[in-house]
Amino acid sequence: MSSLHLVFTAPTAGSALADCLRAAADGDTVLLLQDAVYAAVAPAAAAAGLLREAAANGLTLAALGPDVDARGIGALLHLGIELLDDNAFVALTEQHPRILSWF
Amino acid sequence: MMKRLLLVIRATPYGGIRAREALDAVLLFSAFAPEISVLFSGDGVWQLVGGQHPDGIGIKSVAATLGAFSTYDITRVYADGNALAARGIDGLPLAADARVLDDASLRELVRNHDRILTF
Repeated sequence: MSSLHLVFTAPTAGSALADCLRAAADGDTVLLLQDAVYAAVAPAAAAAGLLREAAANGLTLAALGPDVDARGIGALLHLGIELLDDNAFVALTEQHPRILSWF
Repeated sequence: MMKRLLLVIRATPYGGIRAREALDAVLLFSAFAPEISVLFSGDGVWQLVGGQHPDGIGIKSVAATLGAFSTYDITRVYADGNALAARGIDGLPLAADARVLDDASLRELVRNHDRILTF
């Protein structure tokens, strides 16, 4: 049974994303919310490498659309990061009985 | 002699209350310290990215407050060039006509001010 990982904080604010990716397994989904969406900005060096590796290891990467739009970074994102709206977010939580939050 | 005031903003725009408080403080202090300077540092440089549409998260846009800087005669607005580059957003147009500083200019900015507040 796969897990849903929710990451809330920016990679520059701590190790939440890095720690999450070490705990995530093939088939899991990682959703970036709030300031964590900054990790999905394509050129931002450190996080870019982490996310590329994550995608290669079979993780599904997504970001919450309203949080991306709020910050004005829609045009700067990695290709391969799926944007979800609030309804899709809810649906995701219904699909994954195991949910972890990373601050 | 009026103390020269520098406000350093390191908070992301929508990560908590700090951003709003920082920008409100800038506007407030500008009434008392006419030559106030503002430095966007670290994650604070994200405030300067254009095209912010926060309606979907129910928070008021900081872009509007940054746009008001010129109305308040707040023109000494700076961004840490290193912080922009580290986040891959150097080269983008910046809000509030922020001037990009290299490390040497950053040190000079600090030397030129008497009181520094960080948000």
